[in-house]
Amino acid sequence: MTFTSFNDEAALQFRAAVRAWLERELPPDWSERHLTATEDELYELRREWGKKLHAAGYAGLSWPRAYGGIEAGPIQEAIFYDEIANAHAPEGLGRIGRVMTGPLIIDCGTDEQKARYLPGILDGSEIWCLGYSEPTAGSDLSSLVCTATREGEGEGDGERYRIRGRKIWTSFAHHADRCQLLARTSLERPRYQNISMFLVDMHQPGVTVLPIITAAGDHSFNEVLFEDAVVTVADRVGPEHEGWRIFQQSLRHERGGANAISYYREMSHQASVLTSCCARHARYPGALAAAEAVADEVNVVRWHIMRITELEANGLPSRDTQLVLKLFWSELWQKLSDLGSRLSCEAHREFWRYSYLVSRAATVYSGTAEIQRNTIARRLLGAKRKAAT
Amino acid sequence: MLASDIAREAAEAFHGIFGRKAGGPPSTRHFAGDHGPVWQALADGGWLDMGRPEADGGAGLALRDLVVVAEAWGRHLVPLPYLQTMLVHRWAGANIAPLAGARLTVGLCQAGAQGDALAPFLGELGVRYVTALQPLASEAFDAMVAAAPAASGAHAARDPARNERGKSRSDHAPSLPLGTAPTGTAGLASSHRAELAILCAAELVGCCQALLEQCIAYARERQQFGQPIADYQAIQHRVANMHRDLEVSRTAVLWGANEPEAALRAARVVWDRMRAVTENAFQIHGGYGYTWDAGVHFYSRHVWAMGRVLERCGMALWPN
Repeated sequence: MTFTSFNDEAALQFRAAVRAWLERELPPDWSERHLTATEDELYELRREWGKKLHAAGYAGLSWPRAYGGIEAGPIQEAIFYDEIANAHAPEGLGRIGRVMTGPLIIDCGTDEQKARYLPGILDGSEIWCLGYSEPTAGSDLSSLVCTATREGEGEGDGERYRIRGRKIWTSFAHHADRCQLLARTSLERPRYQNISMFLVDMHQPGVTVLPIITAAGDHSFNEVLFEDAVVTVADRVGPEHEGWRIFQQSLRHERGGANAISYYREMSHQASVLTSCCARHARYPGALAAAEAVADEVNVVRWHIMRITELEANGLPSRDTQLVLKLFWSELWQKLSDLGSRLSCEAHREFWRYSYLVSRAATVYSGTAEIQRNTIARRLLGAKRKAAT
Repeated sequence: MLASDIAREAAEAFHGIFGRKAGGPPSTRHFAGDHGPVWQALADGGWLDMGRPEADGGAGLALRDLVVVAEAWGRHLVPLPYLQTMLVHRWAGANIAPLAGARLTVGLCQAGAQGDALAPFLGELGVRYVTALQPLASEAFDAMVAAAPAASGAHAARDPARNERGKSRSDHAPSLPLGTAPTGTAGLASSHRAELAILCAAELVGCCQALLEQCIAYARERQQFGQPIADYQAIQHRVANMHRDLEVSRTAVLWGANEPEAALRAARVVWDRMRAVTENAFQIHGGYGYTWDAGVHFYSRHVWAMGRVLERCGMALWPN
């Protein structure tokens, strides 16, 4: 359903319904318990959460009804993620499938792929990961070198590719059943016309998942080795060598606003710790005023998300506004965690230390701050302008 | 929470009319120009009554719509107190009669600055200035009016203010003394301060958007080491930061317009960032940016002047 404003009657009703559902489905005392839950407990809960999303009809939020979705518009989607984040609901393990792979298959997949993969994504039984970045291809993704070599043209055994290469920063890979993978299918063709998109089985010989422990001490992503892993032609998405175009197209499914909400909620929580505790007791003059000024900026993040979402929902141009969102919140989060670390009270030392380290990654993942600035500048200064050295 | 279609259409119309009347990009030429026709067009077109309730004969725009008009106005950096005057019409409601007169306006001066002036933005002769936040006794007002230079074509000698070194300020920065209405205006209600603050903030966004466009044009044209400076990433990232600051500020204006109780906090977000935009603009223009003719200083001065107005509304300039 498409609402035109967050204050529409129907939008308010939807919010109330989501909130009531969360209250019903989350474990009691969850708002406190999520901080102390063990790794195993969290894993179980995240598995279960996928099934609950499905049972409630929220799994295919923005998907067409024909594929089991509810065709949520931008505002409805933003409200959903806002409530989820506000309740500290666990992130389902199937996020990549629901948000990236599902819409990709609906758009570009074959009927066979739709029948085979969409049900498992929706009901949370199959977990997906993204095989995009490589050790030597980060911001410059199209220079990726993982290869998919077609074997024996024609029949039977010939209808498949051998995958060789390494993928990195792969979230969910240690839980994943399948991987949405970009690999090079030609060594001769020019850049952007030499890559294909595949749906690869993770449970096969030749696929090795190696954990990466982050600077903050977490294990949330991995390196994945593909050593002669196999994928059939039937599991290629779109024509051979056109994977880059399909990848670009799939980015359109990303609604920057909805995606940023969980970060906003986290920052908002940290800002309230800062203004209600740490800065209040800090011995530095002006600490509270400085903290409140940063908290105001955090509040602007929320308004910025709402603004983008309402522009989208009303069919108004939103790209100029959308482009700055990631840059805005990621650098603001670092400023916030820096201030928190300086003004921290005894009790919140670990809280801010973790926030400080975790926020280092924010200006790197999903497009570095430098790439974000390049993109903005290209739009303002001219399409073809390349940075001089 | 977004502006209505009416506001967007009004902003378009505004650009159509004042883009022509105000004579293109702001510059020293523009600043020294005669703004009588612009003011007349504002009055004739009903723009002074945009925010006045419909029951009182105005267009009845809500605050979230007025900020769109304010941003459109800001784009032209016209040295006329349009927003303040429009707000007086809004607040006066049916009691507009005592405030009638096309050139009557309201403004705010700095604390205790009876003889001080808000230079260079308020350079229009014959504009009567009213301090609504800090009313002066009517005798003081009369004395200031008497002391104000006569309204003649030349503006060279009409700035009585002196800088801290005792030198006369530039002839190019005309200003008028601030006075108060003979009617005697009480301090502004906090709801009025909020409206004034958020409109000032919106105006700054419009001004700084024009400045960014000036920077982009300059960066494409100016060549060093055989190529436009726009090709250098160091310049590109400054431009990106300016755009980010403008977009974030538009959002902050929207916040303040939808939640007037937060208007001063929102204005603070805007003011900080618009100050940064002007600083980037100086740097992108290099040595030229430091000259009077480049005109970057008009924007910088205006941001600081508005900072003082916002301070009088209750916004803190510190800590940053």
